[in-house]
Amino acid sequence: MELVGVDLNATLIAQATRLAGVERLRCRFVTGDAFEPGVAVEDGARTIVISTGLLHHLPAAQLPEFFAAQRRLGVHAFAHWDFDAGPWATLGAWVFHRARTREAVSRHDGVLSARRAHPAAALLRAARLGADGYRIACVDGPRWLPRLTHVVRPITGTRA
Amino acid sequence: MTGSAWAVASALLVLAALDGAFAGFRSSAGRTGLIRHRRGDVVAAARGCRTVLLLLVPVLGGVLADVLGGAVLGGAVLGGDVLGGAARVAPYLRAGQVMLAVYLPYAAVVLAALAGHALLDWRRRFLATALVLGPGTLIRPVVVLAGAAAGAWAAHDVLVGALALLAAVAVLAVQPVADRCWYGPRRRSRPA
Repeated sequence: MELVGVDLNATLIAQATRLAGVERLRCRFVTGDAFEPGVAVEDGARTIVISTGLLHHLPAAQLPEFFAAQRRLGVHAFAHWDFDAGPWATLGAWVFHRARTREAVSRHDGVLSARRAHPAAALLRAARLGADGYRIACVDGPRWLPRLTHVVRPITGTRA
Repeated sequence: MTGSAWAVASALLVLAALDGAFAGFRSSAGRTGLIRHRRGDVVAAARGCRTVLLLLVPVLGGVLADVLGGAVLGGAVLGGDVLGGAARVAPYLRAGQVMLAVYLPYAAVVLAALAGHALLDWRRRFLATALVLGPGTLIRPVVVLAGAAAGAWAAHDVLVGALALLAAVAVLAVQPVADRCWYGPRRRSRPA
């Protein structure tokens, strides 16, 4: 198995590469668009695309294209974790970031991330639209009940 | 000093050292991006512990000067301990007992959550942070100052009250000092 990390930001990739070297991790990092053929995915059928905390950075209108790009690469599966949106996630994010982060931008962005997370229904709709031919799954918890052990949940797709 | 006075003083010192260690850890946590950071955590905790003990030196010096000075004065001038050292210990003992009554329940809850954080899986670890450690960190300055204020009130003594509040300030200063000396953004931007 080969682990490849991809980001558009060359500075972040350089730092990730340096840290991986320090810890002697068996992975590599590349700068570029992860969905550009040849950047990170060489054999789609043997590739699983995963991300954490990425989806809420995309506007709802761009979600179908996000999933469609993975379909075009023919990836075997994808799993993208993000906040299970709701008032409890927002409150938890506020407490967590106040307690664990010090930089103002992190405290601000952490709470905004929880607030702008897409509900499961929107993700499912976009994934079914963009990644036709994949078995899609994503489940939200009850909105008004706190589910403190399920703060993030994935949307998954596997080739049918 | 009586046995109970030593016990109260020791308990407060242990709590301060623990709080200093955690403050040092908080100052360093998440700064490097490394996955394995236990050694860095230990170093940061040791730095926090040393820092709080150093910041408390003026307080400990003030307490010792007051109590021992009173004892010497009582022995030399009054020929006994009644109006000297033992009498000066009493307000410190009252203040210390009240401070412990405030700090011990808080410390017990935080230590229980930390034990959970160390033993549970990552989902429940987040739960311990979100429910206990996060709010505990947020209310920590209030708890520290409330304990000192309650101790100062119970002591009925201006000097004891002032030293209690000075001790609280010293405890709260550990994280800013650690940020400034070792872990803040300006320190990290310098070449290693």
